[in-house]
Amino acid sequence: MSPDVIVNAISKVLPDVEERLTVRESQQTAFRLYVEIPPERLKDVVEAMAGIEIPHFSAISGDDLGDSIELSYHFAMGCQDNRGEVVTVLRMKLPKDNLKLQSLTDLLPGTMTAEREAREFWGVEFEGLPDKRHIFLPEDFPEDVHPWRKDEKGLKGMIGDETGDQ
Amino acid sequence: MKQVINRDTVYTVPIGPIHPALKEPIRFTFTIDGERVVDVDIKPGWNHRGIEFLGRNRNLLQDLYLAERVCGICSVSHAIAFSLAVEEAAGITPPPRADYIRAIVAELERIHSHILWVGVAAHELGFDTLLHISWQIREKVMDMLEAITGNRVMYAMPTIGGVRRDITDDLARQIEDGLSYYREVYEKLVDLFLRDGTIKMRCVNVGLLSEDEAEKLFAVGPTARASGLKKDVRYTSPYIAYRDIKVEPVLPSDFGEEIRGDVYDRIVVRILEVKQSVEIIAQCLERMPDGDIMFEKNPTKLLAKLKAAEGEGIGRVEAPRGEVFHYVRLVAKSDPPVTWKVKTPTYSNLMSWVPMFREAQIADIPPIIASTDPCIACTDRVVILDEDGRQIMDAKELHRLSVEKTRRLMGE
Repeated sequence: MSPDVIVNAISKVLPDVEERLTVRESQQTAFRLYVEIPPERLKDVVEAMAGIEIPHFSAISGDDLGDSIELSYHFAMGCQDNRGEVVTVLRMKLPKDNLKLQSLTDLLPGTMTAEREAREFWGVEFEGLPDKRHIFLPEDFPEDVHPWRKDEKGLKGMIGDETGDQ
Repeated sequence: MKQVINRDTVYTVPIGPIHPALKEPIRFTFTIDGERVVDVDIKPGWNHRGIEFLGRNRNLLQDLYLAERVCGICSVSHAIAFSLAVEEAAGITPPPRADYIRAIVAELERIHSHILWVGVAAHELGFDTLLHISWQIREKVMDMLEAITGNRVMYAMPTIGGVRRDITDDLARQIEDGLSYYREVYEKLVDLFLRDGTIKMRCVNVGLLSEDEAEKLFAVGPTARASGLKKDVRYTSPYIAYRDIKVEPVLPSDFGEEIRGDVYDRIVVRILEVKQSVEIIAQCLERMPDGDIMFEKNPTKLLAKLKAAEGEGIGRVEAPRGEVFHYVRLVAKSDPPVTWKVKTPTYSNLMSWVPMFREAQIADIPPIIASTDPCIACTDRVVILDEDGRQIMDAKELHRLSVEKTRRLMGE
């Protein structure tokens, strides 16, 4: 699949997509398409992509940027085409006072594991996520501790504790 | 899987967190009506080691060793995927010979993993003789890996920008001998597993996953291919030596079977992939160019280059169980990566278990759990509780039920 097809589809919901994207070639024979999107448009963009074909979804990666959390959804379009895959990364910055995203589980039920993981490890709330229990953390893990955060909500007293509170 | 449940006849059956069929702890809570599974809840995370968190406090070469230890069986796949991600972020191109050596080790790992798995599957069905035959066949590939890397598992072969050991002419000959052995025994494996009436009885139409479900639940690896999806990273975005060597995804139809997406199809895909891996290794040996095997031999210089690097990279590898995904972000003047995300194949296949258990019988639970080749630990502690929490069934009992069903079908 050509990255243009994906950019075209996304442009229908995000007209200024051209300013938001970076395309790179990779030695792994697949384009890398990074798109910065507003968090509230996530579902529209994924819906537009799924209009072409059901994408493959790998994982949600994240980073604590201080006053916001950056989440990246790693999709692969053309996931059954010989040498035709485009790794499409949807990236959004969520301000820490409004850590909310729409769940994709009604559209793509396979995203459930990743959303439950992002919820417990980053403290992002997913509207419409049917199962909000812990998945990789113990069932009795405190609800207000999120291990991947680098602020006061992260782990305390661990090796490399970035809050300095050992 | 929401169905009308008659509370009077329904049991809740926890299997795990520790179960003999699994390699890592996971808990399945089955809702059982008589012999029928009506619902399942899956809870992983009993052994979350916080590898990504640890990785944020170590330099990239130390992280490489952590990456290799994400999984005991797909170890080289994780090390390759991590190296690819770092190489993409830092703009490093490994020498071509290293790409071929990486592919050879990765394919040997696939042979060892798939034959290990067919043995486990045979055990779950009650064929312990077959388990021992398969694992005897697997010993040859373990010897080959030991000869090349010095270890049976945890090979420490890939490094950032290449591989750590070369394949000499002598080793290449040993690999070729090993490949001839697998060409000889391949037909035996096919006969034992794919033409056996009893295996068909236990596995055909058991643990069904439709193509549509597999696609929407993002199944990967043999689990996806057994349902008819052409998902194989070596085919869709070839990396290392697969850029030169053609890899077609193996589907059950290659064995002349219609694609059902059941446990049998998952056996077909894995057995056929043993043959495919043998041919890939043979091609790699034939086409392997001469030259360096490392981008930078001096680890201090390599670390200095990596410390100066700024960028992000994705590494995707087709491990024996499916797509391994690593994402790394580097910033200048920092030894550790600021972000490291690892996605394992079983992570993607977790959701696919739910439809597979639909309408299954209790005795089919072990083969269905095993059929995705879950990479999750193994100790012997399964209990089935009745509603008051009294223990009514243990691992031995569950295994006995599975063995009994096989015997019953065989008409003994």
